[in-house]
Amino acid sequence: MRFIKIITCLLIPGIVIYFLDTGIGTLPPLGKLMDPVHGFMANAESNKTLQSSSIHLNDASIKGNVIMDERLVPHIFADDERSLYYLQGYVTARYRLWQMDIQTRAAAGRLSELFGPKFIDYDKEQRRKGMIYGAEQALYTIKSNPKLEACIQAYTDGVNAFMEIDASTQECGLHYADYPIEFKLLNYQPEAWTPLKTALLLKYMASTLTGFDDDIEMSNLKKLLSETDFNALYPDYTEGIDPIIPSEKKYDFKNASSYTNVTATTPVYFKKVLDIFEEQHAKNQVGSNNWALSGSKTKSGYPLLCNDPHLQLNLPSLWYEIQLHMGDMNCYGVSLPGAPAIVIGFNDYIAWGVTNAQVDVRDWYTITFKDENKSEYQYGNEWKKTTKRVETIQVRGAKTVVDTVIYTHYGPVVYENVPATREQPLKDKVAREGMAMRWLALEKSEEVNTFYLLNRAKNYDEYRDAISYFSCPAQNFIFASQSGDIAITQQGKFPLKSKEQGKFVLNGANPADDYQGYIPFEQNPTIKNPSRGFCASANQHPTDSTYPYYYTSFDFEYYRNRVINSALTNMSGATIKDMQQLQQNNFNLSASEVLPLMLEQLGDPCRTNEKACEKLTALKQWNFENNVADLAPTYYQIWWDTLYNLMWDEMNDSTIAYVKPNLYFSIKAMHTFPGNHPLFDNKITTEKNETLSDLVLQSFNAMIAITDSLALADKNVLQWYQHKHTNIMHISQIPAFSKLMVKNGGYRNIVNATSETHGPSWRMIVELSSPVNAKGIYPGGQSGNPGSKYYDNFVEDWAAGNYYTLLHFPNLETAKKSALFTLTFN
Amino acid sequence: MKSILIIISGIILCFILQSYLPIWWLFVVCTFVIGYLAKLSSGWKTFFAAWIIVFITWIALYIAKDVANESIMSNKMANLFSMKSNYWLFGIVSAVMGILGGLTAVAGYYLSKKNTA
Repeated sequence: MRFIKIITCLLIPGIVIYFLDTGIGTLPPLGKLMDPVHGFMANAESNKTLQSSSIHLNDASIKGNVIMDERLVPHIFADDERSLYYLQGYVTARYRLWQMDIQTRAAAGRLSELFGPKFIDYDKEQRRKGMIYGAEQALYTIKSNPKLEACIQAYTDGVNAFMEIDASTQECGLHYADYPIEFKLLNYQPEAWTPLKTALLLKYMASTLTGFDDDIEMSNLKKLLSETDFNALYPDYTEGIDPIIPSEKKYDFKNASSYTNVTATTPVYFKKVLDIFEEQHAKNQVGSNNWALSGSKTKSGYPLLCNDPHLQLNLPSLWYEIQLHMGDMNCYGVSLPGAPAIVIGFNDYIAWGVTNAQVDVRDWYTITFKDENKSEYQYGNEWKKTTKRVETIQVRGAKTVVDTVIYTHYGPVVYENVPATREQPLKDKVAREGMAMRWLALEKSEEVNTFYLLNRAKNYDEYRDAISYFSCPAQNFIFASQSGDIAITQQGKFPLKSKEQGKFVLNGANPADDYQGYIPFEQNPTIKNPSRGFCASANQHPTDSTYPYYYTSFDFEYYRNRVINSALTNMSGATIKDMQQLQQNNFNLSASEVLPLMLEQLGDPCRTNEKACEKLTALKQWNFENNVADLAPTYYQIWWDTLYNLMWDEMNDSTIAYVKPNLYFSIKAMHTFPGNHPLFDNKITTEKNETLSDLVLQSFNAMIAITDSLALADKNVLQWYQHKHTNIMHISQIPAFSKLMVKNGGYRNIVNATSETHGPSWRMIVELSSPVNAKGIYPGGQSGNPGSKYYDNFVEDWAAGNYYTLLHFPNLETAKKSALFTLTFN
Repeated sequence: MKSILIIISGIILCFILQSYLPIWWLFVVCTFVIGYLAKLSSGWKTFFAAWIIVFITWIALYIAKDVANESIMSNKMANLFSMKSNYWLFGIVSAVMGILGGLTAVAGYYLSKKNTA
């Protein structure tokens, strides 16, 4: 009897401990996690982590000091390049290790390894898009540049030194207690960093910024709409555009016209062929603003440069603030955790920033294989050979998935056995057809070199040289120097295209549809010291229509640029304060251009109920500012969204790939199309032909009903920021680690572009005085650890529109005076 | 009096082991030995003494770290596990661990009885 009691009393805890130690299903090992010393509480940072220390590395050649300031920004002082980038890697890993790990795994399509079969499709998508292939191409170029290779290797070694990676086994030497909390929760181990991971991270950015196109959708629309409607709703160019390069610029390129040749591509009709992946329609969320004022327009007489890239807002933040000091290079700005150097910033001489070019650099080619082996495909009169790349996707808790991706000279055949590339596919033909993707992100390039050189650049010429290495994702590089120059260049590698080439799906069998070369670097849109005294970009058209080369976009922007340009044109004696106000500008230009029309079409305001009348009055009195606590922006947005969906209900057929007209051309159509245009008619109702004013009334009534029901429990939910509900989510989407409903105004297509998920991910203002005077802030914190007070400590200030003074120390001695603590490497 | 002494010395022992060794379940070995050596008057008494030892050890370790961290981490974890507050999280986990410790202590207690019998 006693024996049984003893066994029972040991067995029950034994079994429980076993499961708590190993984890059940997707649950992490809770026992280990809950350990009050080595589990999650080991990530509960105390002030002890803020003490100075001296770190002895295995690599004795690494020497330097990292001064951490009050906001936990590292200021790295080193005497040689290897030490500098080594320490950048080390300190970034110390604060952002999990983020670096998960972002590069996501880029490489390796999430099934961690999260099991539900991520197989995602991983396949990444592999088929050629993410690893593209990173390998980038690495290939990097290796041909010894300086760059050394820089990336130093960074890699620094990251691995922090992880105590064993040189022979490549195992991580960190103890469980030292792991970032996410490794504990998701139950996996950190792995060694490699130069390929850095390349993957940059491809991840390229994908975020250029991984879009509407070629299939446009091909369908061209077929489905009348020519007049198509040209009115999806033009490449239109009147009233305020381009990046002002019209004073003349394009007198010799031979420019001889580059282009006309091909005739007949658009084919595509059903929704996206058998592998659904395109992420986040494209009208990414964007950015940047501008530079020459000294003639500023109060101080020094140039001012501003930049705010609008990207997905996450915790840990995409950006990591840092100062890099070595010899006469003294650079400050934001870096990407996982890549050496500073991406957006300034040094003692110049400042620079970027916005996305939005020019389409991804095209689709239909491929006809010779037979089902798919080892040859048609190209003119010949058969070209394919290469095959085997992608192995490991899956947690399931069998490994192997996917063979076929590569043509265009790029990977993303879609194979396309079920319906023609309206009536011939059955035997299907197995011989595919769609290859030509994407500039997959070509050899060395973007890191641009940042490496910009960090060191001292003047305009060095800026131009630095950016010449940048091919994808094409960016509008804004520039200002202490010597008084300002400039902007749309830099990237752009294919030479005939008119409308690449707007629709191309025929891979026709050599005339192939790329014929690239626009030479000097002929990319650029301007230095324009007479208007400022350069600016906000993802709009780069040039006016006199630019001799054809380009199209997956999504140009039509509103922010006009607000910024008009503000800057009218500005004189500008100060940093003025720049802050412009970055925070909440003016909703699109609403100001459509709401009066909507109100006019609505007619008699009070024919419905009293509450409707109240809301209508609010809309009529609205100053078009999307301010935090206002109600009118909420009424407007719900009304507009409903109206927009009613207008383009023809395109709701989920079996066909469409893209609805963008905001600008939708509003334009409302102004220019007759009210009884067939596209305005509601497809669901057959008995009546709706006109625009019918839709306006319907959507208005819907808005009243929606807002009434939303406000039933709490009237405050109609305040703009509550309705918009900006969430800064933890990368793994854990709400407990996120900042929910951040109190900020603005919206898409507004200068302060804070939407539900995206927004100004880094606001920077640099005055090119001597010494440089700079302000900046991003919605996050320097530490990636949710258990640190530095995890999200900038968010409130960011939302309130505050800025921090960026401490650009001239030397180590000065930096030491402002140190919170110091890490000494010797 | 004896039980209080046992509890105090048990807490000290568990506290030291748990702090320095990265094996979260080491306390059950500790309570097993205590149950064996303490020779308390009943199985229930042994269970409760061990429960108190483990509960207090874990709570103390949690709170020591939590105060220095101003509850930043624990509040997020409590939220993640849908608990009302960090103290609920500490309490529930420590109580469950206490039960595990209590059971092994009882095993130790019966083992000691067998030996004396």
